[in-house]
Amino acid sequence: MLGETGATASVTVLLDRVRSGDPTAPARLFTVVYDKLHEIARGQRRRSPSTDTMNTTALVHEAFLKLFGTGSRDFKDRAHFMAVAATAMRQILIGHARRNIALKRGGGQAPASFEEVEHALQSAAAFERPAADALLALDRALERLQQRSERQSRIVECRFFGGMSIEETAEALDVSPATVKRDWSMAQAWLHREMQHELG
Amino acid sequence: MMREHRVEPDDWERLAALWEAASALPPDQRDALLRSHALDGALREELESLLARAGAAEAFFDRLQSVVAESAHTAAESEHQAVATAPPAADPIVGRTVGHYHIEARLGQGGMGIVYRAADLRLRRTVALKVLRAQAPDDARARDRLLTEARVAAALDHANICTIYEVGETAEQQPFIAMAFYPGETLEQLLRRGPLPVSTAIDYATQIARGLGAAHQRGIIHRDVKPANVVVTEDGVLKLLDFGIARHLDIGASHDGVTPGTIAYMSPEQVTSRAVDRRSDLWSLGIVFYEMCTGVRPFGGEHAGAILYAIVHESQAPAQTLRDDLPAHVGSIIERLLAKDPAERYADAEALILDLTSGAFKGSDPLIAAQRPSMRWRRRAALYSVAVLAVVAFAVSWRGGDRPALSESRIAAQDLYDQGHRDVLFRTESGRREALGFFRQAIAVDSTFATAHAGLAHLLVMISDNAGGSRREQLTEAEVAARTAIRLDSLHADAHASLGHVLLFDYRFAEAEVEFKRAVALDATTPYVREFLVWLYIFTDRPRDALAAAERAAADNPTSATAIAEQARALLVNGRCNDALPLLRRLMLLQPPPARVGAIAAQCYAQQRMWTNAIDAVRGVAEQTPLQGNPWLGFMLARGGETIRGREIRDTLLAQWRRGKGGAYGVALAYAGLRNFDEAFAWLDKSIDDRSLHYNIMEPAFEDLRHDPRFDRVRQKLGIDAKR
Repeated sequence: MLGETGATASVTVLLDRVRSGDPTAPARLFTVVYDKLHEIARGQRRRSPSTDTMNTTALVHEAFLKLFGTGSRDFKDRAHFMAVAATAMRQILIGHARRNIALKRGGGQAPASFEEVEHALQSAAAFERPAADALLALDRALERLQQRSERQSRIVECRFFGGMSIEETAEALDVSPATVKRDWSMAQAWLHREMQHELG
Repeated sequence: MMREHRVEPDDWERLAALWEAASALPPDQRDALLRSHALDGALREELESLLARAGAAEAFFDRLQSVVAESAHTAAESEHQAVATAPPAADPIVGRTVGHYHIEARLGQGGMGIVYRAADLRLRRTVALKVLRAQAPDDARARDRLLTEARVAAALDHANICTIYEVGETAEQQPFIAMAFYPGETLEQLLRRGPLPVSTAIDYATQIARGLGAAHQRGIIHRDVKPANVVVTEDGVLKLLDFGIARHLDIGASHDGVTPGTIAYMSPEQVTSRAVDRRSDLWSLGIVFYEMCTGVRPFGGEHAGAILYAIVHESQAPAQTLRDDLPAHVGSIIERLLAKDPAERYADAEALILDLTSGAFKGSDPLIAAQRPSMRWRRRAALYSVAVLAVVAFAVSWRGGDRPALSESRIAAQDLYDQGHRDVLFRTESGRREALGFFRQAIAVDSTFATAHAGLAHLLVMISDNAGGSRREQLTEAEVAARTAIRLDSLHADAHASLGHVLLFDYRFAEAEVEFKRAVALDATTPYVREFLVWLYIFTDRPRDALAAAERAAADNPTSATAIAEQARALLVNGRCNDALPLLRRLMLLQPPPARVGAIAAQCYAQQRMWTNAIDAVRGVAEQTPLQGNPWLGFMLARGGETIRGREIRDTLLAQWRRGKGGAYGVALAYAGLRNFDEAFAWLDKSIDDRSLHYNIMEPAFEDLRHDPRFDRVRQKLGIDAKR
């Protein structure tokens, strides 16, 4: 059996590799983070089935604490970790949206229009159909954005899916906070238009 | 309203800069800014359209995010539920060790058993471990049969078949299969998002057919071809799972009830329990192909009974009626695959592959069109002979062959060639050496086998230092092999490609170009031929032609890692590192990445003075070549300021050269890194003589040298025009 220390050591090494630019490290760390996010979600539900759930940021922070313990790692580490976790969250949320739609719709019914999405976001706060449709449209638009600017798409992942602050995003992607701010606002405008076109 | 994307990646950085300037200004002052930059129509229109919605967009994403973020926890939980239908806590196997596999997580459950992700403790790799549910767990004979069959399937080695590492039994005598773990998703998951682009559907169908063809040649029928049994890896390679085990298991008709997802792919003969042969697999592939093209299954329905009835008695709606842009030939391929009578289907996977791949051919290029009638006939003849060969090989193995056909020596030669011609063998130096052995044996068995001569020529060019002879002698041997291939079959496209390959590295560029173009004309799908053209154009200082060829290569073969790498290289030599890097990053995630990616990525990073990344890029993809002898690493270290380590690598390369290992080119590259241009030029001169000089000479690494008047001599010696 691997002890907790063994596991911690290996994720620490992986994180160091991410930071030093090892091209294979993010994918490997991703698997670890992805599993950990699931495990936390499951564990919490078992402990307190009826209480409030965690939002993205809380979930990601919890995963970081579980994997690295408290105190030992600095801000930089957390930022790099969160950037990887953001990708995992994207996958989890998109998968959830997809299942949500498959379950509710079972095929046939058209996705919500952009207008319906906007309306739903104003009123309800539940992760129901229009939001799920919007999320899938966002995922596809983000793939197109990646063709144009890898950096902007990563920034959107960190900010939107990872719930990361401007500073954390800047640290993780090794760019200035000003660049993150600029790219984030431009990417939002671009994605907004793409989604509106797609959903009609 | 215009719907297309008006701004292409080239202008993106400019747009971002303008965005920053304009969004800082109040709206009434923006006009002046846009005027002062003399913006052209499209860019201005784009900027204005984005600025106009900036506020709305921010508010929108704010709200969307708060809705989504609150459900992150539920999503993670539901994801988990979806991945493992039962909570792993209830699965006692997770956390245990089976044989030398440590079971880490449950990945999914199917009719055949449960799949886990496991760590192979001996070889330290991640595997997928399928613990099978046998029909009668207590029946030792049934279990033995299953194990035997699984072991036969394990012997299959093909790029489109999932690699099986081991077949064994747990302590409780449950059979298990340890197989390669491919990051990616199943075709079933992919299809939930809807139909695929036609070209992708054709590519996937071809890949599945290739995997099936390889199995059928060995007499193995899959029996359960369906999207859930196909993994689409991250680099777009399809892997077929679960060969031949279907019949031993109670798929579908079990206590779990009959699942439409399984029976929808069954052939009429399976439904009616008649004899099943390989044409049954082709039917199932037909259903998958139909679904990839249209997004729906031809025989659907809520009830198993209705589906089964439809499979046997009803005809499907023609796929074209569900998709307007479906080419007619794709529709007819599907019709033929879904013929109720097996005799009316394709006789085998090879005949199907022929139709799938020749369809893309039609009307592409006047030169090809002119060639086509005779070529098509030849290709058909060639493939039919392969098909006959397969039948004969099968018949021979059963000692019942009564077909008059190719000589036994050709069969043996083809078999040896197949063993050598596996992409995986070509990737590493040792693999190439192994393949070389197979090709030589194939020629020894049948000296009239053009394909093997061409393969031998390719390999002799690729293998860096032949045992014994010099590189020049090796190229001479390669040229003889390539010309022999052409003499044996002057219409063999790869024979011409192989001659071009030899001539390119013998710096006979004009002749090489003729051969490559002939290969393309004979068969535009000849492996790697467009990538060779990219090299040729780069070498002869025609970067734009190189980019055009690379884009064509990547478009023709969107799932080829090497084609994407060459596209990145072409972008690099055209000064477009920003466009090359996203491609390269994707390639670097592959396991292993194509070796050539390192030098391309490193040069991109070097352009941006990101030395750490450049050095890591070389390290990240270095196969088994010891790093201390890697000239690219030496170059990047030296330029990145680590002169001492750059010199160490140069010394290693010099010592290797003295021992007759490695060409002068590596030494030249190391000296160029150290900015010792006198030595670099001296060694470049030598490298032309010993034929180790590379098209890299026209890439950014050698930029300083190319600006030096002494480079004219290099050009002259190579016969490259100084123009352009």
